[in-house]
Amino acid sequence: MENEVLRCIGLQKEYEGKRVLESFSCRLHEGQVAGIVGPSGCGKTTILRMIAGLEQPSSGTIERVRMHARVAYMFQEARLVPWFTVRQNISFVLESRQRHKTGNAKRIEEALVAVELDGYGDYYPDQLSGGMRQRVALARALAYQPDVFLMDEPFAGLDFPLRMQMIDFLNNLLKQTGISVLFVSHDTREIMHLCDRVYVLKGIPARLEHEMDLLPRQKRLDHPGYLLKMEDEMLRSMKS
Amino acid sequence: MRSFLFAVLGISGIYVGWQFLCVVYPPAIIPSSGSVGGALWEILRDGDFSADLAATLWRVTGSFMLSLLIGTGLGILAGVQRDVLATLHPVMVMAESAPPVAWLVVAILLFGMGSAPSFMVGLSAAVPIFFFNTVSAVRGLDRQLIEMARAYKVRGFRLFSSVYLPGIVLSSVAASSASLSVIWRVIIMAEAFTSAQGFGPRLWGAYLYAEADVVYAYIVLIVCLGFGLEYGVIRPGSNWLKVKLRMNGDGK
Repeated sequence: MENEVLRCIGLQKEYEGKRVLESFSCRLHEGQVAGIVGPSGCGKTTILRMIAGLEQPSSGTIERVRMHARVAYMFQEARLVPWFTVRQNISFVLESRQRHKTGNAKRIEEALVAVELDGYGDYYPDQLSGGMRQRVALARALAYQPDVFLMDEPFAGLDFPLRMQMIDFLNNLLKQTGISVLFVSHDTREIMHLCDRVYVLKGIPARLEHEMDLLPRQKRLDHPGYLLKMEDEMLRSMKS
Repeated sequence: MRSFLFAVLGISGIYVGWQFLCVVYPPAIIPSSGSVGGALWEILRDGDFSADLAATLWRVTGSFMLSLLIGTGLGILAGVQRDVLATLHPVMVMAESAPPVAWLVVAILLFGMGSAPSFMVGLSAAVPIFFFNTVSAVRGLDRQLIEMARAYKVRGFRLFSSVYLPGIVLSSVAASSASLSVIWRVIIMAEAFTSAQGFGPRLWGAYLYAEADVVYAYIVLIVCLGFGLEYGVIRPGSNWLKVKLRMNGDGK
Protein backbone atom coordinates (compact mmCIF):
# COMPACT_ATOMS: atom_id res chain seq x y z
CA MET A 1 0.00 0.00 0.00
CA GLU A 2 2.94 2.29 -0.73
CA ASN A 3 1.93 5.94 -1.09
CA GLU A 4 -1.69 4.90 -0.92
CA VAL A 5 -3.95 6.91 1.36
CA LEU A 6 -7.17 5.05 0.66
CA ARG A 7 -8.14 1.68 -0.73
CA CYS A 8 -11.70 0.47 -1.37
CA ILE A 9 -12.10 -3.23 -2.06
CA GLY A 10 -15.28 -4.85 -3.39
CA LEU A 11 -17.70 -2.26 -2.04
CA GLN A 12 -21.31 -3.26 -2.42
CA LYS A 13 -24.40 -1.45 -1.27
CA GLU A 14 -27.97 -2.65 -0.96
CA TYR A 15 -31.05 -0.68 0.08
CA GLU A 16 -33.93 -2.83 1.32
CA GLY A 17 -32.61 -5.86 -0.50
CA LYS A 18 -32.08 -3.98 -3.77
CA ARG A 19 -28.46 -3.77 -4.88
CA VAL A 20 -27.43 -0.33 -6.10
CA LEU A 21 -23.65 -0.77 -6.23
CA GLU A 22 -21.82 -3.84 -7.48
CA SER A 23 -18.32 -4.63 -6.20
CA PHE A 24 -16.52 -1.30 -6.56
CA SER A 25 -12.78 -1.09 -5.93
CA CYS A 26 -10.44 1.88 -6.18
CA ARG A 27 -7.14 3.22 -4.86
CA LEU A 28 -6.16 6.74 -4.03
CA HIS A 29 -2.49 7.71 -3.85
CA GLU A 30 -0.96 10.60 -1.96
CA GLY A 31 -1.46 13.86 -3.87
CA GLN A 32 -3.55 12.14 -6.52
CA VAL A 33 -6.87 13.47 -7.80
CA ALA A 34 -9.02 10.50 -8.72
CA GLY A 35 -12.39 10.90 -10.37
CA ILE A 36 -15.49 8.74 -10.33
CA VAL A 37 -17.71 9.43 -13.31
CA GLY A 38 -21.02 7.91 -14.25
CA PRO A 39 -24.56 8.82 -15.17
CA SER A 40 -26.78 10.60 -12.61
CA GLY A 41 -28.16 8.32 -9.93
CA CYS A 42 -25.69 5.48 -10.54
CA GLY A 43 -24.35 5.41 -6.97
CA LYS A 44 -21.35 7.74 -7.10
CA THR A 45 -22.48 9.68 -4.04
CA THR A 46 -23.12 6.43 -2.18
CA ILE A 47 -19.44 5.52 -2.59
CA LEU A 48 -18.33 8.83 -1.06
CA ARG A 49 -20.87 8.54 1.76
CA MET A 50 -19.53 5.09 2.63
CA ILE A 51 -15.94 6.36 2.64
CA ALA A 52 -16.98 9.30 4.87
CA GLY A 53 -18.67 6.90 7.28
CA LEU A 54 -22.13 8.34 6.69
CA GLU A 55 -23.30 4.94 5.42
CA GLN A 56 -22.07 1.40 5.92
CA PRO A 57 -21.24 -0.80 2.93
CA SER A 58 -23.30 -3.99 2.63
CA SER A 59 -20.01 -5.76 1.92
CA GLY A 60 -16.43 -4.88 1.04
CA THR A 61 -13.80 -2.94 2.94
CA ILE A 62 -12.50 0.61 3.13
CA GLU A 63 -8.87 0.87 4.24
CA ARG A 64 -7.16 4.06 5.25
CA VAL A 65 -3.40 4.19 5.66
CA ARG A 66 -3.51 6.24 8.83
CA MET A 67 -5.57 4.94 11.70
CA HIS A 68 -7.22 8.31 12.35
CA ALA A 69 -7.03 9.69 8.82
CA ARG A 70 -8.96 12.93 8.43
CA VAL A 71 -11.62 12.90 5.74
CA ALA A 72 -13.15 16.15 4.52
CA TYR A 73 -16.35 16.12 2.52
CA MET A 74 -17.52 18.82 0.14
CA PHE A 75 -21.17 18.29 -0.77
CA GLN A 76 -23.17 19.45 -3.76
CA GLU A 77 -24.53 22.21 -1.51
CA ALA A 78 -22.26 24.42 0.59
CA ARG A 79 -24.03 23.30 3.79
CA LEU A 80 -22.99 26.30 5.86
CA VAL A 81 -24.56 26.97 9.24
CA PRO A 82 -26.72 30.06 8.52
CA TRP A 83 -26.28 31.63 11.98
CA PHE A 84 -22.48 31.34 11.90
CA THR A 85 -20.14 33.74 10.17
CA VAL A 86 -17.74 32.43 7.54
CA ARG A 87 -14.99 32.19 10.17
CA GLN A 88 -17.28 30.42 12.66
CA ASN A 89 -18.38 27.96 9.98
CA ILE A 90 -14.79 26.90 9.47
CA SER A 91 -13.94 26.93 13.15
CA PHE A 92 -17.02 24.74 13.82
CA VAL A 93 -15.42 21.69 12.16
CA LEU A 94 -11.91 22.38 13.43
CA GLU A 95 -12.72 22.46 17.10
CA SER A 96 -14.18 19.00 16.89
CA ARG A 97 -10.75 17.60 16.11
CA GLN A 98 -8.45 19.92 17.94
CA ARG A 99 -8.89 20.96 21.51
CA HIS A 100 -6.17 23.61 21.31
CA LYS A 101 -7.68 26.56 19.51
CA THR A 102 -4.45 28.52 19.20
CA GLY A 103 -3.50 27.14 15.79
CA ASN A 104 -7.03 27.26 14.45
CA ALA A 105 -7.24 31.00 13.87
CA LYS A 106 -4.13 30.87 11.68
CA ARG A 107 -5.42 27.87 9.73
CA ILE A 108 -8.75 29.60 9.14
CA GLU A 109 -7.09 32.75 7.82
CA GLU A 110 -4.77 30.70 5.59
CA ALA A 111 -7.73 28.76 4.20
CA LEU A 112 -9.63 31.98 3.51
CA VAL A 113 -6.62 33.42 1.70
CA ALA A 114 -6.30 30.19 -0.32
CA VAL A 115 -9.89 30.47 -1.58
CA GLU A 116 -9.50 34.24 -2.07
CA LEU A 117 -12.06 35.12 0.58
CA ASP A 118 -9.79 36.96 2.99
CA GLY A 119 -11.76 39.89 4.33
CA TYR A 120 -15.01 37.90 4.29
CA GLY A 121 -14.47 36.15 7.63
CA ASP A 122 -17.19 38.10 9.41
CA TYR A 123 -19.79 37.76 6.65
CA TYR A 124 -22.79 35.48 7.05
CA PRO A 125 -23.63 32.88 4.37
CA ASP A 126 -26.72 34.79 3.22
CA GLN A 127 -24.49 37.76 2.39
CA LEU A 128 -22.46 35.70 -0.09
CA SER A 129 -23.11 34.52 -3.65
CA GLY A 130 -23.48 30.81 -4.50
CA GLY A 131 -19.90 30.58 -5.76
CA MET A 132 -18.54 32.29 -2.66
CA ARG A 133 -20.45 29.92 -0.39
CA GLN A 134 -18.93 26.95 -2.21
CA ARG A 135 -15.51 28.54 -1.70
CA VAL A 136 -16.26 28.82 2.03
CA ALA A 137 -17.11 25.10 1.99
CA LEU A 138 -13.78 24.55 0.22
CA ALA A 139 -11.96 26.66 2.82
CA ARG A 140 -13.64 24.65 5.57
CA ALA A 141 -12.34 21.44 4.04
CA LEU A 142 -8.82 22.87 3.48
CA ALA A 143 -8.54 24.18 7.04
CA TYR A 144 -9.49 20.69 8.24
CA GLN A 145 -6.20 19.52 6.70
CA PRO A 146 -7.63 16.30 5.37
CA ASP A 147 -5.73 13.19 4.38
CA VAL A 148 -8.53 12.42 1.96
CA PHE A 149 -10.78 15.07 0.43
CA LEU A 150 -14.10 13.82 -0.93
CA MET A 151 -15.83 16.12 -3.42
CA ASP A 152 -19.35 15.29 -4.51
CA GLU A 153 -20.20 17.33 -7.61
CA PRO A 154 -19.45 20.48 -5.61
CA PHE A 155 -20.07 22.82 -8.54
CA ALA A 156 -23.25 21.20 -9.85
CA GLY A 157 -25.39 24.10 -8.64
CA LEU A 158 -23.32 26.79 -10.35
CA ASP A 159 -23.77 28.15 -13.86
CA PHE A 160 -21.33 27.02 -16.56
CA PRO A 161 -18.86 29.98 -16.61
CA LEU A 162 -18.66 30.03 -12.81
CA ARG A 163 -18.25 26.25 -12.76
CA MET A 164 -15.31 26.36 -15.14
CA GLN A 165 -13.81 29.24 -13.16
CA MET A 166 -14.15 27.21 -9.95
CA ILE A 167 -12.56 24.15 -11.59
CA ASP A 168 -9.55 26.18 -12.72
CA PHE A 169 -9.32 27.68 -9.27
CA LEU A 170 -9.53 24.26 -7.62
CA ASN A 171 -7.01 22.80 -10.00
CA ASN A 172 -4.40 25.39 -9.04
CA LEU A 173 -5.23 25.02 -5.38
CA LEU A 174 -4.87 21.24 -5.39
CA LYS A 175 -1.57 21.53 -7.20
CA GLN A 176 -0.28 23.81 -4.43
CA THR A 177 -1.62 21.83 -1.48
CA GLY A 178 -1.01 18.27 -2.74
CA ILE A 179 -4.17 16.94 -1.06
CA SER A 180 -5.46 13.54 -2.16
CA VAL A 181 -8.89 13.98 -3.68
CA LEU A 182 -11.69 11.68 -4.72
CA PHE A 183 -13.87 13.74 -7.04
CA VAL A 184 -17.31 12.60 -8.16
CA SER A 185 -19.13 14.00 -11.17
CA HIS A 186 -21.41 13.07 -14.03
CA ASP A 187 -19.69 15.77 -16.11
CA THR A 188 -16.81 14.26 -18.10
CA ARG A 189 -15.38 17.73 -18.79
CA GLU A 190 -14.95 18.45 -15.07
CA ILE A 191 -13.27 15.08 -14.64
CA MET A 192 -10.96 15.66 -17.61
CA HIS A 193 -9.85 19.00 -16.24
CA LEU A 194 -9.21 17.89 -12.68
CA CYS A 195 -8.33 14.22 -12.40
CA ASP A 196 -5.21 12.10 -12.85
CA ARG A 197 -7.08 8.81 -12.74
CA VAL A 198 -10.70 8.06 -13.62
CA TYR A 199 -13.10 5.30 -12.58
CA VAL A 200 -16.06 4.99 -14.92
CA LEU A 201 -19.32 3.56 -13.53
CA LYS A 202 -22.30 2.34 -15.51
CA GLY A 203 -25.48 0.29 -15.24
CA ILE A 204 -28.01 -0.55 -12.54
CA PRO A 205 -26.76 -1.74 -10.15
CA ALA A 206 -23.72 0.42 -10.86
CA ARG A 207 -20.50 -1.42 -11.56
CA LEU A 208 -16.97 -0.32 -12.40
CA GLU A 209 -16.78 -0.37 -16.20
CA HIS A 210 -13.42 1.18 -16.91
CA GLU A 211 -10.31 2.61 -15.23
CA MET A 212 -8.14 5.17 -16.99
CA ASP A 213 -4.92 6.97 -16.13
CA LEU A 214 -4.68 10.41 -17.70
CA LEU A 215 -1.61 12.35 -18.79
CA PRO A 216 -0.45 15.05 -16.37
CA ARG A 217 -2.67 18.09 -16.65
CA GLN A 218 -0.29 20.40 -18.48
CA LYS A 219 0.39 17.78 -21.12
CA ARG A 220 -3.35 17.13 -21.46
CA LEU A 221 -4.08 20.80 -22.05
CA ASP A 222 -1.32 21.00 -24.64
CA HIS A 223 -3.01 18.21 -26.64
CA PRO A 224 -6.68 19.08 -27.17
CA GLY A 225 -6.99 16.00 -29.35
CA TYR A 226 -6.02 13.84 -26.38
CA LEU A 227 -8.69 15.47 -24.22
CA LEU A 228 -11.35 14.81 -26.84
CA LYS A 229 -10.20 11.21 -27.32
CA MET A 230 -10.26 10.43 -23.59
CA GLU A 231 -13.59 12.16 -23.10
CA ASP A 232 -14.99 10.12 -25.95
CA GLU A 233 -13.62 6.93 -24.40
CA MET A 234 -15.20 7.83 -21.09
CA LEU A 235 -18.58 8.52 -22.66
CA ARG A 236 -18.47 5.28 -24.64
CA SER A 237 -17.69 3.32 -21.46
CA MET A 238 -20.65 4.93 -19.69
CA LYS A 239 -23.01 4.12 -22.54
CA SER A 240 -21.73 0.76 -23.77
CA MET B 1 -47.19 51.62 10.25
CA ARG B 2 -50.09 50.18 8.26
CA SER B 3 -50.45 47.20 10.62
CA PHE B 4 -50.30 49.54 13.62
CA LEU B 5 -53.17 51.59 12.20
CA PHE B 6 -55.24 48.44 11.70
CA ALA B 7 -54.45 47.36 15.28
CA VAL B 8 -55.70 50.73 16.52
CA LEU B 9 -58.79 50.25 14.35
CA GLY B 10 -59.46 46.85 15.98
CA ILE B 11 -59.13 48.24 19.52
CA SER B 12 -61.30 51.20 18.60
CA GLY B 13 -63.94 48.75 17.33
CA ILE B 14 -63.98 47.00 20.71
CA TYR B 15 -64.39 50.37 22.47
CA VAL B 16 -67.24 51.42 20.18
CA GLY B 17 -68.95 48.04 20.72
CA TRP B 18 -68.59 48.52 24.47
CA GLN B 19 -70.19 51.97 24.30
CA PHE B 20 -73.06 50.53 22.32
CA LEU B 21 -73.62 47.71 24.82
CA CYS B 22 -73.57 50.25 27.69
CA VAL B 23 -76.68 51.79 26.19
CA VAL B 24 -78.43 48.43 25.75
CA TYR B 25 -77.54 46.79 29.12
CA PRO B 26 -77.79 48.15 32.68
CA PRO B 27 -74.54 49.27 34.44
CA ALA B 28 -74.69 46.20 36.72
CA ILE B 29 -73.96 44.06 33.63
CA ILE B 30 -72.02 46.41 31.30
CA PRO B 31 -70.67 49.46 33.15
CA SER B 32 -69.60 52.60 31.32
CA SER B 33 -65.98 53.08 30.32
CA GLY B 34 -65.80 56.07 32.66
CA SER B 35 -66.76 54.06 35.75
CA VAL B 36 -64.41 51.22 34.71
CA GLY B 37 -61.62 53.77 34.28
CA GLY B 38 -62.35 55.10 37.76
CA ALA B 39 -62.32 51.59 39.24
CA LEU B 40 -59.06 50.88 37.47
CA TRP B 41 -57.53 54.02 38.96
CA GLU B 42 -58.66 52.92 42.42
CA ILE B 43 -57.12 49.46 41.89
CA LEU B 44 -53.81 50.99 40.85
CA ARG B 45 -53.81 53.28 43.89
CA ASP B 46 -54.75 50.47 46.27
CA GLY B 47 -52.02 49.33 48.66
CA ASP B 48 -52.54 45.66 47.76
CA PHE B 49 -52.07 46.19 44.04
CA SER B 50 -48.33 45.54 43.92
CA ALA B 51 -48.69 42.40 46.06
CA ASP B 52 -51.49 41.11 43.78
CA LEU B 53 -49.47 41.92 40.69
CA ALA B 54 -46.42 40.15 42.09
CA ALA B 55 -48.46 37.08 43.07
CA THR B 56 -50.09 36.72 39.65
CA LEU B 57 -46.90 37.46 37.72
CA TRP B 58 -44.98 34.95 39.82
CA ARG B 59 -47.52 32.22 39.02
CA VAL B 60 -47.66 33.16 35.33
CA THR B 61 -43.92 33.53 34.75
CA GLY B 62 -43.07 30.57 37.00
CA SER B 63 -45.51 28.28 35.17
CA PHE B 64 -44.27 29.63 31.86
CA MET B 65 -40.60 28.99 32.61
CA LEU B 66 -41.26 25.52 34.03
CA SER B 67 -43.44 24.63 31.02
CA LEU B 68 -40.73 25.89 28.68
CA LEU B 69 -38.07 23.77 30.36
CA ILE B 70 -40.16 20.61 30.76
CA GLY B 71 -41.96 20.82 27.39
CA THR B 72 -38.83 21.66 25.41
CA GLY B 73 -36.65 19.11 27.21
CA LEU B 74 -39.15 16.29 26.72
CA GLY B 75 -39.81 17.47 23.16
CA ILE B 76 -36.11 17.19 22.28
CA LEU B 77 -35.96 13.66 23.68
CA ALA B 78 -39.16 12.67 21.86
CA GLY B 79 -38.00 14.27 18.62
CA VAL B 80 -34.77 12.29 18.69
CA GLN B 81 -36.10 8.98 20.06
CA ARG B 82 -39.26 7.51 18.53
CA ASP B 83 -39.88 5.31 21.58
CA VAL B 84 -39.91 8.35 23.87
CA LEU B 85 -42.40 10.02 21.53
CA ALA B 86 -44.61 6.91 21.53
CA THR B 87 -44.56 6.94 25.34
CA LEU B 88 -45.15 10.65 25.87
CA HIS B 89 -47.60 11.36 23.05
CA PRO B 90 -50.69 9.94 24.84
CA VAL B 91 -49.65 11.63 28.10
CA MET B 92 -49.46 15.01 26.38
CA VAL B 93 -52.72 14.50 24.51
CA MET B 94 -54.38 13.62 27.83
CA ALA B 95 -52.94 16.73 29.50
CA GLU B 96 -54.15 18.83 26.60
CA SER B 97 -57.61 17.30 26.38
CA ALA B 98 -58.60 17.40 30.07
CA PRO B 99 -60.35 20.70 30.94
CA PRO B 100 -58.32 23.03 33.20
CA VAL B 101 -60.98 22.90 35.88
CA ALA B 102 -60.51 19.11 36.12
CA TRP B 103 -56.77 19.62 36.69
CA LEU B 104 -57.63 22.32 39.24
CA VAL B 105 -59.78 19.93 41.28
CA VAL B 106 -57.08 17.25 41.17
CA ALA B 107 -54.44 19.83 42.16
CA ILE B 108 -56.53 21.07 45.12
CA LEU B 109 -56.95 17.47 46.28
CA LEU B 110 -53.22 16.86 45.92
CA PHE B 111 -51.72 20.12 47.19
CA GLY B 112 -54.51 21.98 48.98
CA MET B 113 -54.93 25.75 48.59
CA GLY B 114 -52.12 28.15 47.60
CA SER B 115 -50.00 28.64 44.51
CA ALA B 116 -49.32 24.98 43.73
CA PRO B 117 -52.71 24.31 42.03
CA SER B 118 -52.18 27.36 39.80
CA PHE B 119 -48.76 26.03 38.78
CA MET B 120 -50.18 22.59 38.04
CA VAL B 121 -52.99 23.98 35.91
CA GLY B 122 -50.53 26.25 34.09
CA LEU B 123 -48.18 23.35 33.40
CA SER B 124 -50.96 21.06 32.19
CA ALA B 125 -52.00 23.71 29.68
CA ALA B 126 -48.60 24.89 28.44
CA VAL B 127 -46.27 21.87 28.58
CA PRO B 128 -48.07 20.09 25.68
CA ILE B 129 -47.79 23.23 23.53
CA PHE B 130 -44.01 23.43 24.04
CA PHE B 131 -43.69 19.66 23.69
CA PHE B 132 -45.47 19.32 20.34
CA ASN B 133 -43.76 22.43 18.93
CA THR B 134 -40.34 21.12 19.92
CA VAL B 135 -40.99 17.66 18.49
CA SER B 136 -41.91 19.16 15.13
CA ALA B 137 -38.91 21.54 15.35
CA VAL B 138 -36.52 18.63 15.94
CA ARG B 139 -38.12 16.72 13.07
CA GLY B 140 -37.77 19.79 10.86
CA LEU B 141 -34.09 20.38 11.62
CA ASP B 142 -31.84 20.72 8.60
CA ARG B 143 -30.68 17.12 8.02
CA GLN B 144 -28.03 18.29 5.56
CA LEU B 145 -26.36 20.41 8.24
CA ILE B 146 -26.42 17.53 10.70
CA GLU B 147 -24.94 15.23 8.08
CA MET B 148 -22.20 17.76 7.29
CA ALA B 149 -21.36 17.91 11.00
CA ARG B 150 -21.24 14.10 11.18
CA ALA B 151 -18.95 13.97 8.15
CA TYR B 152 -16.53 16.28 10.00
CA LYS B 153 -16.92 14.26 13.21
CA VAL B 154 -18.66 17.07 15.10
CA ARG B 155 -20.65 15.32 17.80
CA GLY B 156 -22.07 15.61 21.29
CA PHE B 157 -22.63 18.94 22.97
CA ARG B 158 -21.00 20.94 20.19
CA LEU B 159 -23.39 19.54 17.59
CA PHE B 160 -26.34 20.00 19.95
CA SER B 161 -25.51 23.58 20.91
CA SER B 162 -24.49 24.73 17.42
CA VAL B 163 -27.04 23.04 15.16
CA TYR B 164 -29.88 21.47 17.15
CA LEU B 165 -30.46 24.12 19.81
CA PRO B 166 -30.68 27.26 17.62
CA GLY B 167 -33.29 25.55 15.42
CA ILE B 168 -35.29 24.48 18.45
CA VAL B 169 -35.05 27.78 20.33
CA LEU B 170 -36.87 29.68 17.62
CA SER B 171 -39.74 27.22 17.67
CA SER B 172 -39.92 27.51 21.46
CA VAL B 173 -40.20 31.26 21.14
CA ALA B 174 -42.98 30.82 18.59
CA ALA B 175 -44.75 28.47 21.03
CA SER B 176 -44.20 30.98 23.84
CA SER B 177 -46.83 33.32 22.49
CA ALA B 178 -49.54 30.64 22.45
CA SER B 179 -48.44 29.25 25.82
CA LEU B 180 -48.41 32.60 27.53
CA SER B 181 -51.96 33.46 26.52
CA VAL B 182 -53.20 30.05 27.69
CA ILE B 183 -51.29 30.35 30.98
CA TRP B 184 -52.75 33.80 31.65
CA ARG B 185 -56.28 32.51 31.25
CA VAL B 186 -55.97 29.31 33.27
CA ILE B 187 -53.94 30.85 36.10
CA ILE B 188 -56.38 33.71 36.64
CA MET B 189 -59.10 31.06 36.81
CA ALA B 190 -57.10 28.77 39.11
CA GLU B 191 -55.98 31.44 41.57
CA ALA B 192 -59.53 32.74 41.83
CA PHE B 193 -60.46 29.50 43.57
CA THR B 194 -57.26 28.63 45.41
CA SER B 195 -55.53 31.83 46.53
CA ALA B 196 -56.21 34.95 48.55
CA GLN B 197 -53.69 37.11 46.67
CA GLY B 198 -53.59 37.89 42.95
CA PHE B 199 -55.83 39.31 40.23
CA GLY B 200 -57.93 36.12 40.00
CA PRO B 201 -59.26 36.24 43.59
CA ARG B 202 -59.79 40.05 43.33
CA LEU B 203 -61.79 39.61 40.14
CA TRP B 204 -63.84 36.79 41.64
CA GLY B 205 -64.41 38.77 44.84
CA ALA B 206 -65.61 41.77 42.85
CA TYR B 207 -68.07 39.52 41.03
CA LEU B 208 -69.40 38.11 44.32
CA TYR B 209 -69.94 41.65 45.62
CA ALA B 210 -71.64 42.61 42.33
CA GLU B 211 -69.03 45.31 41.57
CA ALA B 212 -69.28 45.12 37.79
CA ASP B 213 -66.99 48.13 37.21
CA VAL B 214 -64.24 46.52 39.32
CA VAL B 215 -64.69 43.19 37.47
CA TYR B 216 -64.24 44.98 34.14
CA ALA B 217 -61.34 46.99 35.49
CA TYR B 218 -59.50 43.79 36.38
CA ILE B 219 -60.29 42.34 32.96
CA VAL B 220 -58.81 45.46 31.33
CA LEU B 221 -55.78 45.23 33.60
CA ILE B 222 -55.21 41.53 32.85
CA VAL B 223 -55.58 42.11 29.10
CA CYS B 224 -53.14 45.05 29.25
CA LEU B 225 -50.56 42.94 31.11
CA GLY B 226 -50.98 40.15 28.54
CA PHE B 227 -50.46 42.69 25.78
CA GLY B 228 -47.38 44.02 27.54
CA LEU B 229 -45.81 40.58 27.83
CA GLU B 230 -46.68 39.63 24.24
CA TYR B 231 -45.62 42.87 22.55
CA GLY B 232 -42.98 43.94 25.06
CA VAL B 233 -41.18 40.64 25.67
CA ILE B 234 -42.20 37.72 23.42
CA ARG B 235 -42.35 39.46 20.02
CA PRO B 236 -39.18 41.55 20.42
CA GLY B 237 -37.42 38.42 21.70
CA SER B 238 -38.63 36.39 18.73
CA ASN B 239 -37.59 39.09 16.26
CA TRP B 240 -34.18 39.43 17.89
CA LEU B 241 -33.63 35.68 17.62
CA LYS B 242 -34.72 35.62 13.99
CA VAL B 243 -32.13 38.28 13.18
CA LYS B 244 -29.48 36.54 15.28
CA LEU B 245 -30.11 33.15 13.67
CA ARG B 246 -30.38 34.61 10.14
CA MET B 247 -33.78 32.99 9.76
CA ASN B 248 -34.90 35.38 7.05
CA GLY B 249 -31.96 34.69 4.76
CA ASP B 250 -31.13 31.81 2.44
CA GLY B 251 -27.62 31.07 3.51
CA LYS B 252 -27.11 27.37 3.22
